[in-house]
Amino acid sequence: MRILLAGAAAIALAASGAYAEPGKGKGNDKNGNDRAAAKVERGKPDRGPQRTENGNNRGRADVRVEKRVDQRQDDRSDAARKMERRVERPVERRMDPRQDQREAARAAERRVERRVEQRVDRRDDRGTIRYVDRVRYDRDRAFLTRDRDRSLIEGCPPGLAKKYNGCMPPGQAKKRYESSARWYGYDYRPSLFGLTNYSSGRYYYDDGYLLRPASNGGIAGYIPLLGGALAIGNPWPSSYSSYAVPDYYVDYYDLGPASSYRYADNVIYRVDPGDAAIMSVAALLTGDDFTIGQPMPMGYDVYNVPYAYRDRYYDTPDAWYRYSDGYVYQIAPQTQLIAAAIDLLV
Amino acid sequence: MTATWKTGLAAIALASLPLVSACTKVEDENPETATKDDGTLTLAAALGSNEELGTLRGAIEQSELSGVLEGPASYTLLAPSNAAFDALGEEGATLLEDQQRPMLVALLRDHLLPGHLTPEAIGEAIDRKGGPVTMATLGQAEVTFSKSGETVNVVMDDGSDAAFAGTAIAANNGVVIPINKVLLPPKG
Repeated sequence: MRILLAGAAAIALAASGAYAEPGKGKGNDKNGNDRAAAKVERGKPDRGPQRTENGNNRGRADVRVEKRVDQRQDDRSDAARKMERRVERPVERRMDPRQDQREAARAAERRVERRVEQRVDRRDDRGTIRYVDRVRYDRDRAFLTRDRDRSLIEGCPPGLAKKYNGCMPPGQAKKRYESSARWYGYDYRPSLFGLTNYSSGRYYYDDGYLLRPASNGGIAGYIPLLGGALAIGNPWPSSYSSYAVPDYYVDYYDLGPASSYRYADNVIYRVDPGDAAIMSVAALLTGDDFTIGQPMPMGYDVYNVPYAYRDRYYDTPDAWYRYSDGYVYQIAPQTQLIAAAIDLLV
Repeated sequence: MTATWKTGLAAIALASLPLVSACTKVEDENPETATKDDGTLTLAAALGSNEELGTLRGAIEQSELSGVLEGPASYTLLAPSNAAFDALGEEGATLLEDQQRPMLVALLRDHLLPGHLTPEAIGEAIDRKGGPVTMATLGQAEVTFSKSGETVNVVMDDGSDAAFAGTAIAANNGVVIPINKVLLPPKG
Protein backbone atom coordinates (compact mmCIF):
# COMPACT_ATOMS: atom_id res chain seq x y z
CA MET A 1 0.00 0.00 0.00
CA ARG A 2 2.81 2.34 0.97
CA ILE A 3 4.49 1.67 -2.37
CA LEU A 4 1.27 2.27 -4.25
CA LEU A 5 0.70 5.64 -2.57
CA ALA A 6 4.26 6.77 -3.09
CA GLY A 7 3.91 5.85 -6.74
CA ALA A 8 0.65 7.80 -7.07
CA ALA A 9 2.26 10.85 -5.47
CA ALA A 10 5.23 10.66 -7.80
CA ILE A 11 2.96 10.44 -10.85
CA ALA A 12 0.91 13.39 -9.61
CA LEU A 13 4.04 15.47 -9.04
CA ALA A 14 5.38 14.65 -12.47
CA ALA A 15 2.04 15.50 -14.09
CA SER A 16 1.80 18.85 -12.32
CA GLY A 17 5.29 19.77 -13.44
CA ALA A 18 4.42 19.16 -17.05
CA TYR A 19 1.23 21.16 -16.73
CA ALA A 20 2.91 24.12 -15.11
CA GLU A 21 5.32 24.47 -18.02
CA PRO A 22 3.25 24.62 -21.16
CA GLY A 23 5.33 25.17 -24.25
CA LYS A 24 8.36 23.38 -22.86
CA GLY A 25 9.72 20.37 -24.69
CA LYS A 26 7.27 18.93 -27.15
CA GLY A 27 5.27 22.09 -27.59
CA ASN A 28 8.28 23.98 -28.88
CA ASP A 29 9.09 21.39 -31.47
CA LYS A 30 5.55 21.65 -32.67
CA ASN A 31 5.93 25.38 -33.12
CA GLY A 32 9.12 24.92 -35.03
CA ASN A 33 7.48 22.43 -37.31
CA ASP A 34 4.47 24.57 -38.00
CA ARG A 35 6.51 27.67 -38.67
CA ALA A 36 8.69 25.76 -41.10
CA ALA A 37 5.62 24.39 -42.82
CA ALA A 38 4.16 27.85 -43.08
CA LYS A 39 7.31 29.09 -44.81
CA VAL A 40 7.19 26.30 -47.37
CA GLU A 41 3.52 26.80 -47.98
CA ARG A 42 3.94 30.44 -48.83
CA GLY A 43 6.57 29.74 -51.46
CA LYS A 44 9.50 31.90 -52.41
CA PRO A 45 8.26 34.23 -55.14
CA ASP A 46 6.29 36.36 -52.72
CA ARG A 47 8.88 36.45 -49.99
CA GLY A 48 11.70 38.81 -49.32
CA PRO A 49 15.08 37.50 -48.25
CA GLN A 50 15.36 38.94 -44.77
CA ARG A 51 13.63 36.31 -42.64
CA THR A 52 15.07 33.21 -44.24
CA GLU A 53 18.02 33.13 -41.84
CA ASN A 54 15.74 32.57 -38.85
CA GLY A 55 15.06 28.96 -39.73
CA ASN A 56 18.77 28.22 -39.98
CA ASN A 57 19.43 29.76 -36.59
CA ARG A 58 16.94 27.41 -35.07
CA GLY A 59 18.89 24.46 -36.39
CA ARG A 60 15.82 22.60 -37.56
CA ALA A 61 16.93 21.83 -41.09
CA ASP A 62 16.14 18.15 -40.61
CA VAL A 63 12.64 18.95 -39.43
CA ARG A 64 12.09 21.21 -42.41
CA VAL A 65 13.13 18.53 -44.88
CA GLU A 66 10.66 16.10 -43.37
CA LYS A 67 8.01 18.76 -43.46
CA ARG A 68 8.66 19.49 -47.09
CA VAL A 69 8.05 15.87 -47.93
CA ASP A 70 4.79 15.97 -45.98
CA GLN A 71 3.96 19.25 -47.62
CA ARG A 72 4.38 17.81 -51.10
CA GLN A 73 1.91 15.12 -50.23
CA ASP A 74 -0.43 17.72 -48.82
CA ASP A 75 0.01 19.80 -51.94
CA ARG A 76 -0.97 16.89 -54.12
CA SER A 77 -4.10 16.23 -52.16
CA ASP A 78 -4.76 19.97 -51.99
CA ALA A 79 -4.45 20.18 -55.74
CA ALA A 80 -6.95 17.39 -56.14
CA ARG A 81 -9.32 19.10 -53.76
CA LYS A 82 -8.91 22.38 -55.59
CA MET A 83 -9.77 20.71 -58.88
CA GLU A 84 -12.95 19.36 -57.38
CA ARG A 85 -13.78 22.74 -55.92
CA ARG A 86 -13.12 24.48 -59.21
CA VAL A 87 -15.75 22.31 -60.86
CA GLU A 88 -18.28 23.03 -58.16
CA ARG A 89 -17.40 26.65 -57.68
CA PRO A 90 -19.09 28.43 -60.61
CA VAL A 91 -22.42 26.88 -59.62
CA GLU A 92 -21.93 27.79 -55.92
CA ARG A 93 -20.89 31.30 -56.86
CA ARG A 94 -23.97 31.99 -58.85
CA MET A 95 -26.02 30.82 -55.91
CA ASP A 96 -24.28 32.79 -53.18
CA PRO A 97 -20.83 34.21 -53.84
CA ARG A 98 -20.60 35.82 -50.40
CA GLN A 99 -21.19 32.49 -48.67
CA ASP A 100 -18.28 30.96 -50.57
CA GLN A 101 -15.97 33.83 -49.59
CA ARG A 102 -17.02 33.60 -45.98
CA GLU A 103 -16.24 29.90 -45.81
CA ALA A 104 -12.76 30.51 -47.18
CA ALA A 105 -12.31 33.35 -44.69
CA ARG A 106 -13.41 31.15 -41.83
CA ALA A 107 -10.87 28.52 -42.85
CA ALA A 108 -8.16 31.20 -42.81
CA GLU A 109 -9.32 32.35 -39.40
CA ARG A 110 -9.27 28.83 -37.99
CA ARG A 111 -5.66 28.58 -39.16
CA VAL A 112 -4.90 31.86 -37.40
CA GLU A 113 -6.62 30.65 -34.24
CA ARG A 114 -4.24 27.70 -34.12
CA ARG A 115 -1.30 30.10 -34.40
CA VAL A 116 -2.68 32.17 -31.52
CA GLU A 117 -2.79 29.04 -29.38
CA GLN A 118 0.80 28.27 -30.31
CA ARG A 119 1.89 31.73 -29.22
CA VAL A 120 0.22 31.21 -25.86
CA ASP A 121 1.98 27.85 -25.57
CA ARG A 122 5.25 29.69 -26.04
CA ARG A 123 4.73 31.98 -23.06
CA ASP A 124 7.16 30.05 -20.86
CA ASP A 125 9.76 29.81 -23.58
CA ARG A 126 11.78 32.57 -21.99
CA GLY A 127 14.84 33.66 -23.85
CA THR A 128 16.78 36.81 -24.35
CA ILE A 129 14.89 39.79 -25.71
CA ARG A 130 15.13 39.85 -29.50
CA TYR A 131 15.42 43.48 -30.50
CA VAL A 132 14.53 44.32 -34.06
CA ASP A 133 17.47 45.58 -36.10
CA ARG A 134 16.97 49.30 -36.41
CA VAL A 135 17.81 49.52 -40.11
CA ARG A 136 15.37 46.72 -40.89
CA TYR A 137 12.72 48.31 -38.68
CA ASP A 138 13.01 51.69 -40.40
CA ARG A 139 12.87 50.03 -43.80
CA ASP A 140 9.80 48.00 -42.76
CA ARG A 141 7.93 51.16 -41.76
CA ALA A 142 8.25 52.63 -45.26
CA PHE A 143 4.86 51.25 -46.33
CA LEU A 144 3.15 53.42 -43.69
CA THR A 145 4.84 56.53 -45.07
CA ARG A 146 3.69 55.65 -48.58
CA ASP A 147 0.18 55.06 -47.27
CA ARG A 148 0.09 58.53 -45.68
CA ASP A 149 0.79 60.12 -49.07
CA ARG A 150 -2.46 58.72 -50.38
CA SER A 151 -5.03 61.01 -51.98
CA LEU A 152 -8.54 60.65 -53.37
CA ILE A 153 -9.08 58.37 -56.34
CA GLU A 154 -9.85 60.75 -59.17
CA GLY A 155 -13.12 60.58 -61.02
CA CYS A 156 -16.28 58.67 -60.32
CA PRO A 157 -16.66 55.20 -58.73
CA PRO A 158 -17.32 52.59 -61.44
CA GLY A 159 -20.87 51.72 -60.33
CA LEU A 160 -21.95 55.31 -59.80
CA ALA A 161 -20.71 56.46 -63.22
CA LYS A 162 -23.40 54.28 -64.78
CA LYS A 163 -26.04 55.18 -62.23
CA TYR A 164 -25.45 58.91 -62.55
CA ASN A 165 -24.93 59.13 -66.28
CA GLY A 166 -21.24 59.80 -66.04
CA CYS A 167 -20.01 61.75 -63.07
CA MET A 168 -22.73 64.39 -63.26
CA PRO A 169 -25.67 63.35 -61.13
CA PRO A 170 -29.00 64.42 -62.65
CA GLY A 171 -31.38 66.44 -60.45
CA GLN A 172 -33.15 63.67 -58.58
CA ALA A 173 -30.02 61.59 -58.02
CA LYS A 174 -28.07 64.62 -56.88
CA LYS A 175 -30.75 65.40 -54.34
CA ARG A 176 -30.57 61.82 -53.12
CA TYR A 177 -26.86 61.68 -52.61
CA GLU A 178 -26.74 65.06 -50.95
CA SER A 179 -29.35 64.05 -48.42
CA SER A 180 -28.46 60.35 -48.25
CA ALA A 181 -29.35 58.83 -44.90
CA ARG A 182 -26.70 60.02 -42.50
CA TRP A 183 -26.80 58.06 -39.32
CA TYR A 184 -27.72 60.14 -36.26
CA GLY A 185 -27.19 63.33 -38.30
CA TYR A 186 -23.44 62.78 -38.60
CA ASP A 187 -21.51 64.70 -41.20
CA TYR A 188 -19.87 61.94 -43.26
CA ARG A 189 -16.24 62.98 -43.59
CA PRO A 190 -13.05 60.89 -43.92
CA SER A 191 -11.97 61.28 -40.27
CA LEU A 192 -15.31 59.86 -39.05
CA PHE A 193 -14.35 56.61 -40.81
CA GLY A 194 -10.85 56.55 -39.32
CA LEU A 195 -9.34 57.87 -42.58
CA THR A 196 -6.57 60.31 -41.76
CA ASN A 197 -4.78 60.45 -45.11
CA TYR A 198 -7.29 62.66 -46.93
CA SER A 199 -8.10 66.34 -47.02
CA SER A 200 -11.03 67.54 -44.95
CA GLY A 201 -13.89 69.47 -46.50
CA ARG A 202 -17.23 68.52 -47.93
CA TYR A 203 -18.02 64.94 -48.88
CA TYR A 204 -21.14 63.01 -49.81
CA TYR A 205 -21.87 59.39 -49.14
CA ASP A 206 -23.42 57.01 -51.61
CA ASP A 207 -23.24 53.33 -52.39
CA GLY A 208 -20.36 52.56 -50.02
CA TYR A 209 -18.17 55.47 -51.14
CA LEU A 210 -17.31 58.90 -49.82
CA LEU A 211 -17.62 61.29 -52.77
CA ARG A 212 -15.85 64.60 -53.09
CA PRO A 213 -17.93 67.10 -55.09
CA ALA A 214 -16.28 69.06 -57.90
CA SER A 215 -16.90 72.77 -58.46
CA ASN A 216 -18.91 72.03 -61.61
CA GLY A 217 -21.45 69.93 -59.67
CA GLY A 218 -19.92 66.60 -60.63
CA ILE A 219 -17.79 64.23 -58.59
CA ALA A 220 -14.08 65.06 -58.33
CA GLY A 221 -12.94 61.94 -56.54
CA TYR A 222 -13.87 59.18 -54.13
CA ILE A 223 -12.79 56.90 -51.28
CA PRO A 224 -14.08 53.32 -50.95
CA LEU A 225 -15.23 52.63 -47.38
CA LEU A 226 -14.59 49.59 -45.20
CA GLY A 227 -17.95 47.82 -44.90
CA GLY A 228 -19.25 49.68 -47.97
CA ALA A 229 -17.46 49.31 -51.28
CA LEU A 230 -14.87 47.27 -49.35
CA ALA A 231 -17.39 44.78 -47.91
CA ILE A 232 -16.80 41.03 -47.93
CA GLY A 233 -17.48 39.49 -51.33
CA ASN A 234 -16.75 42.68 -53.27
CA PRO A 235 -13.79 42.73 -55.64
CA TRP A 236 -10.84 44.85 -54.55
CA PRO A 237 -11.13 48.18 -56.45
CA SER A 238 -8.15 48.15 -58.82
CA SER A 239 -7.84 51.93 -58.57
CA TYR A 240 -7.41 51.77 -54.77
CA SER A 241 -3.65 51.39 -54.23
CA SER A 242 -2.63 48.50 -52.01
CA TYR A 243 0.90 48.41 -50.61
CA ALA A 244 2.93 45.32 -49.74
CA VAL A 245 3.50 44.98 -46.00
CA PRO A 246 6.89 43.87 -44.62
CA ASP A 247 7.60 40.16 -44.20
CA TYR A 248 7.38 40.60 -40.44
CA TYR A 249 3.71 41.57 -40.80
CA VAL A 250 3.09 38.76 -43.30
CA ASP A 251 4.26 36.35 -40.60
CA TYR A 252 2.70 38.13 -37.63
CA TYR A 253 -0.76 38.40 -39.16
CA ASP A 254 -0.35 35.15 -41.12
CA LEU A 255 -1.20 36.73 -44.48
CA GLY A 256 0.26 34.24 -46.95
CA PRO A 257 1.49 35.26 -50.41
CA ALA A 258 1.16 38.81 -51.69
CA SER A 259 -1.76 37.78 -53.88
CA SER A 260 -3.84 36.81 -50.85
CA TYR A 261 -3.93 40.13 -49.02
CA ARG A 262 -4.34 43.86 -49.60
CA TYR A 263 -3.31 46.76 -47.40
CA ALA A 264 -4.67 50.30 -47.53
CA ASP A 265 -5.57 53.04 -45.03
CA ASN A 266 -4.47 51.06 -41.93
CA VAL A 267 -6.55 47.99 -42.77
CA ILE A 268 -5.23 44.58 -43.90
CA TYR A 269 -7.74 42.51 -45.91
CA ARG A 270 -7.61 38.86 -46.86
CA VAL A 271 -8.56 38.45 -50.51
CA ASP A 272 -9.17 35.50 -52.78
CA PRO A 273 -5.90 35.12 -54.74
CA GLY A 274 -7.93 34.13 -57.81
CA ASP A 275 -10.36 36.99 -58.26
CA ALA A 276 -9.20 39.44 -55.53
CA ALA A 277 -12.60 39.34 -53.83
CA ILE A 278 -12.42 40.49 -50.21
CA MET A 279 -12.76 37.53 -47.81
CA SER A 280 -12.27 39.14 -44.40
CA VAL A 281 -10.58 41.90 -42.46
CA ALA A 282 -7.32 40.39 -41.16
CA ALA A 283 -6.18 43.29 -39.00
CA LEU A 284 -6.68 46.94 -38.17
CA LEU A 285 -3.57 49.04 -37.60
CA THR A 286 -3.25 52.28 -35.69
CA GLY A 287 -0.53 53.49 -38.09
CA ASP A 288 0.91 55.36 -35.09
CA ASP A 289 4.42 56.63 -35.61
CA PHE A 290 6.85 54.67 -33.45
CA THR A 291 10.37 55.70 -34.45
CA ILE A 292 13.30 54.34 -32.44
CA GLY A 293 15.04 57.19 -30.63
CA GLN A 294 11.97 59.44 -30.89
CA PRO A 295 9.30 60.14 -28.23
CA MET A 296 6.51 57.61 -27.81
CA PRO A 297 3.35 58.85 -29.58
CA MET A 298 0.37 60.08 -27.54
CA GLY A 299 -2.19 57.51 -26.51
CA TYR A 300 -0.08 54.81 -24.88
CA ASP A 301 -0.38 55.67 -21.19
CA VAL A 302 -1.52 52.17 -20.18
CA TYR A 303 0.47 48.93 -20.18
CA ASN A 304 -0.96 46.90 -23.07
CA VAL A 305 1.46 44.08 -23.89
CA PRO A 306 -0.36 41.04 -25.42
CA TYR A 307 -1.31 38.07 -23.25
CA ALA A 308 1.44 35.67 -24.33
CA TYR A 309 4.23 38.18 -23.60
CA ARG A 310 3.12 39.78 -20.34
CA ASP A 311 5.29 37.62 -18.11
CA ARG A 312 8.34 38.53 -20.19
CA TYR A 313 7.80 42.24 -20.87
CA TYR A 314 6.44 44.09 -17.84
CA ASP A 315 7.04 47.64 -16.64
CA THR A 316 10.00 48.22 -14.33
CA PRO A 317 11.57 51.48 -13.10
CA ASP A 318 14.12 51.13 -15.93
CA ALA A 319 11.93 50.09 -18.84
CA TRP A 320 8.30 50.30 -19.90
CA TYR A 321 6.80 48.16 -22.61
CA ARG A 322 3.99 49.17 -24.96
CA TYR A 323 2.39 47.30 -27.86
CA SER A 324 1.29 48.73 -31.19
CA ASP A 325 0.66 47.14 -34.60
CA GLY A 326 2.53 43.88 -34.05
CA TYR A 327 5.55 45.16 -32.13
CA VAL A 328 6.32 45.62 -28.44
CA TYR A 329 8.36 48.77 -27.84
CA GLN A 330 10.76 49.37 -24.98
CA ILE A 331 10.32 52.87 -23.59
CA ALA A 332 12.70 54.79 -21.33
CA PRO A 333 10.43 55.91 -18.44
CA GLN A 334 12.33 59.14 -17.72
CA THR A 335 12.61 60.51 -21.24
CA GLN A 336 9.61 58.68 -22.79
CA LEU A 337 11.85 57.96 -25.77
CA ILE A 338 11.47 54.71 -27.72
CA ALA A 339 14.58 52.68 -26.87
CA ALA A 340 13.92 49.65 -29.07
CA ALA A 341 11.38 47.59 -30.99
CA ILE A 342 11.00 43.93 -30.02
CA ASP A 343 10.38 41.04 -32.42
CA LEU A 344 7.38 39.01 -31.20
CA LEU A 345 7.93 36.16 -33.63
CA VAL A 346 11.21 34.90 -32.21
CA MET B 1 -1.86 2.95 8.00
CA THR B 2 -3.70 6.21 8.65
CA ALA B 3 -0.37 8.03 8.69
CA THR B 4 0.49 6.53 5.31
CA TRP B 5 -2.83 7.69 3.86
CA LYS B 6 -2.24 11.18 5.15
CA THR B 7 1.25 11.32 3.66
CA GLY B 8 -0.08 10.15 0.32
CA LEU B 9 -2.97 12.61 0.28
CA ALA B 10 -0.71 15.49 1.24
CA ALA B 11 1.62 14.64 -1.62
CA ILE B 12 -1.29 14.55 -4.08
CA ALA B 13 -2.70 17.81 -2.72
CA LEU B 14 0.69 19.51 -3.00
CA ALA B 15 1.16 18.19 -6.49
CA SER B 16 -2.17 19.53 -7.66
CA LEU B 17 -1.53 23.08 -6.38
CA PRO B 18 0.15 24.30 -9.58
CA LEU B 19 -2.77 22.80 -11.52
CA VAL B 20 -5.23 24.99 -9.66
CA SER B 21 -3.17 28.14 -10.01
CA ALA B 22 -2.58 27.51 -13.71
CA CYS B 23 -6.29 27.21 -14.47
CA THR B 24 -7.62 30.43 -13.00
CA LYS B 25 -5.69 33.61 -12.39
CA VAL B 26 -7.48 36.55 -10.90
CA GLU B 27 -5.72 39.92 -10.91
CA ASP B 28 -7.95 41.67 -8.39
CA GLU B 29 -8.88 40.81 -4.81
CA ASN B 30 -12.55 41.60 -5.39
CA PRO B 31 -14.22 38.71 -7.21
CA GLU B 32 -17.09 40.98 -8.35
CA THR B 33 -14.94 43.30 -10.45
CA ALA B 34 -11.77 41.30 -11.08
CA THR B 35 -10.87 40.53 -14.68
CA LYS B 36 -11.55 36.91 -15.55
CA ASP B 37 -8.40 35.54 -17.10
CA ASP B 38 -8.98 32.76 -19.62
CA GLY B 39 -6.15 32.18 -22.05
CA THR B 40 -8.02 29.34 -23.73
CA LEU B 41 -10.49 31.79 -25.29
CA THR B 42 -10.17 34.10 -28.28
CA LEU B 43 -11.78 37.54 -28.08
CA ALA B 44 -14.61 36.27 -30.27
CA ALA B 45 -15.27 33.36 -27.89
CA ALA B 46 -15.01 35.61 -24.83
CA LEU B 47 -17.59 37.93 -26.35
CA GLY B 48 -19.83 34.95 -27.04
CA SER B 49 -19.71 33.86 -23.41
CA ASN B 50 -21.49 36.99 -22.11
CA GLU B 51 -25.23 37.20 -22.76
CA GLU B 52 -25.26 40.88 -21.86
CA LEU B 53 -23.23 41.55 -25.00
CA GLY B 54 -25.46 39.76 -27.51
CA THR B 55 -26.35 42.93 -29.46
CA LEU B 56 -22.68 43.82 -29.80
CA ARG B 57 -21.94 40.30 -31.02
CA GLY B 58 -24.58 40.75 -33.72
CA ALA B 59 -23.19 44.17 -34.58
CA ILE B 60 -19.67 42.79 -35.02
CA GLU B 61 -20.96 40.04 -37.28
CA GLN B 62 -22.91 42.60 -39.31
CA SER B 63 -19.83 44.85 -39.51
CA GLU B 64 -17.78 41.93 -40.95
CA LEU B 65 -14.98 42.64 -38.45
CA SER B 66 -15.20 39.18 -36.86
CA GLY B 67 -11.89 38.16 -38.45
CA VAL B 68 -10.10 40.82 -36.40
CA LEU B 69 -11.35 39.31 -33.11
CA GLU B 70 -10.23 35.84 -34.15
CA GLY B 71 -6.83 36.90 -35.45
CA PRO B 72 -3.35 36.65 -33.98
CA ALA B 73 -3.08 40.35 -33.06
CA SER B 74 -4.20 41.66 -29.69
CA TYR B 75 -7.05 44.15 -29.25
CA THR B 76 -9.10 45.42 -26.34
CA LEU B 77 -12.80 45.77 -27.01
CA LEU B 78 -14.81 48.31 -25.03
CA ALA B 79 -18.04 46.36 -25.19
CA PRO B 80 -21.35 48.28 -24.89
CA SER B 81 -24.05 46.21 -23.19
CA ASN B 82 -27.39 45.27 -24.77
CA ALA B 83 -28.99 48.07 -22.73
CA ALA B 84 -26.47 50.55 -24.17
CA PHE B 85 -27.57 49.68 -27.71
CA ASP B 86 -31.25 49.78 -26.66
CA ALA B 87 -30.71 53.32 -25.39
CA LEU B 88 -29.90 54.41 -28.98
CA GLY B 89 -33.56 53.68 -29.87
CA GLU B 90 -34.54 53.70 -33.55
CA GLU B 91 -31.11 54.91 -34.58
CA GLY B 92 -29.57 51.87 -32.94
CA ALA B 93 -31.72 49.60 -35.09
CA THR B 94 -30.92 51.41 -38.35
CA LEU B 95 -27.22 51.14 -37.53
CA LEU B 96 -27.51 47.40 -38.08
CA GLU B 97 -28.93 47.78 -41.62
CA ASP B 98 -26.66 46.97 -44.56
CA GLN B 99 -26.76 50.54 -45.86
CA GLN B 100 -25.18 51.83 -42.64
CA ARG B 101 -22.43 49.22 -42.43
CA PRO B 102 -19.59 51.73 -43.02
CA MET B 103 -20.91 53.83 -40.13
CA LEU B 104 -21.23 50.74 -37.89
CA VAL B 105 -17.63 49.79 -38.73
CA ALA B 106 -16.49 53.33 -37.92
CA LEU B 107 -18.23 53.25 -34.52
CA LEU B 108 -16.84 49.83 -33.63
CA ARG B 109 -13.30 50.90 -34.55
CA ASP B 110 -13.61 53.64 -31.94
CA HIS B 111 -14.31 50.89 -29.38
CA LEU B 112 -11.18 48.89 -30.28
CA LEU B 113 -7.84 49.66 -28.62
CA PRO B 114 -4.42 48.27 -29.56
CA GLY B 115 -3.13 45.53 -27.26
CA HIS B 116 -4.20 43.88 -24.05
CA LEU B 117 -5.58 46.38 -21.53
CA THR B 118 -7.09 45.09 -18.31
CA PRO B 119 -9.23 47.37 -16.12
CA GLU B 120 -6.62 46.74 -13.41
CA ALA B 121 -3.79 48.06 -15.65
CA ILE B 122 -5.93 51.07 -16.57
CA GLY B 123 -6.61 51.74 -12.86
CA GLU B 124 -2.92 51.45 -12.01
CA ALA B 125 -1.97 53.85 -14.81
CA ILE B 126 -4.49 56.41 -13.53
CA ASP B 127 -3.15 56.04 -9.98
CA ARG B 128 0.47 56.30 -11.12
CA LYS B 129 -0.19 59.40 -13.19
CA GLY B 130 -2.48 60.90 -10.57
CA GLY B 131 -5.10 61.70 -13.21
CA PRO B 132 -6.72 60.69 -16.51
CA VAL B 133 -4.79 58.56 -19.01
CA THR B 134 -5.26 58.34 -22.76
CA MET B 135 -5.16 55.43 -25.18
CA ALA B 136 -5.16 55.24 -28.96
CA THR B 137 -8.07 53.51 -30.72
CA LEU B 138 -8.28 51.79 -34.09
CA GLY B 139 -10.74 54.48 -35.14
CA GLN B 140 -10.70 58.22 -35.45
CA ALA B 141 -9.96 59.36 -31.91
CA GLU B 142 -8.26 58.63 -28.63
CA VAL B 143 -10.13 57.69 -25.48
CA THR B 144 -9.44 59.00 -21.98
CA PHE B 145 -9.87 56.92 -18.85
CA SER B 146 -10.51 58.42 -15.41
CA LYS B 147 -11.72 57.20 -12.04
CA SER B 148 -14.59 58.41 -9.89
CA GLY B 149 -14.42 56.43 -6.68
CA GLU B 150 -14.00 52.83 -7.72
CA THR B 151 -15.69 53.30 -11.11
CA VAL B 152 -13.58 53.73 -14.23
CA ASN B 153 -15.03 56.09 -16.85
CA VAL B 154 -14.07 56.36 -20.50
CA VAL B 155 -14.57 59.45 -22.69
CA MET B 156 -14.09 59.80 -26.44
CA ASP B 157 -12.28 62.89 -27.67
CA ASP B 158 -14.98 65.59 -27.59
CA GLY B 159 -17.57 62.84 -27.69
CA SER B 160 -19.70 60.85 -25.30
CA ASP B 161 -18.68 58.92 -22.21
CA ALA B 162 -19.38 55.56 -20.56
CA ALA B 163 -18.50 53.66 -17.40
CA PHE B 164 -17.02 50.18 -16.97
CA ALA B 165 -19.87 47.84 -16.06
CA GLY B 166 -19.39 44.16 -15.34
CA THR B 167 -16.62 41.61 -15.44
CA ALA B 168 -13.88 42.00 -18.04
CA ILE B 169 -12.54 38.86 -19.72
CA ALA B 170 -8.86 38.58 -20.63
CA ALA B 171 -8.60 36.25 -23.63
CA ASN B 172 -5.49 35.08 -25.48
CA ASN B 173 -5.79 37.79 -28.15
CA GLY B 174 -7.20 40.68 -26.14
CA VAL B 175 -9.64 41.82 -23.49
CA VAL B 176 -13.40 42.42 -23.48
CA ILE B 177 -14.37 45.25 -21.11
CA PRO B 178 -18.15 45.73 -20.77
CA ILE B 179 -19.29 49.39 -20.70
CA ASN B 180 -22.72 50.89 -20.07
CA LYS B 181 -23.07 53.19 -23.12
CA VAL B 182 -22.15 53.26 -26.79
CA LEU B 183 -19.30 55.75 -27.30
CA LEU B 184 -20.31 58.26 -29.97
CA PRO B 185 -17.92 60.61 -31.75
CA PRO B 186 -18.62 64.34 -31.78
CA LYS B 187 -20.95 65.62 -34.50
CA GLY B 188 -19.95 68.23 -37.02
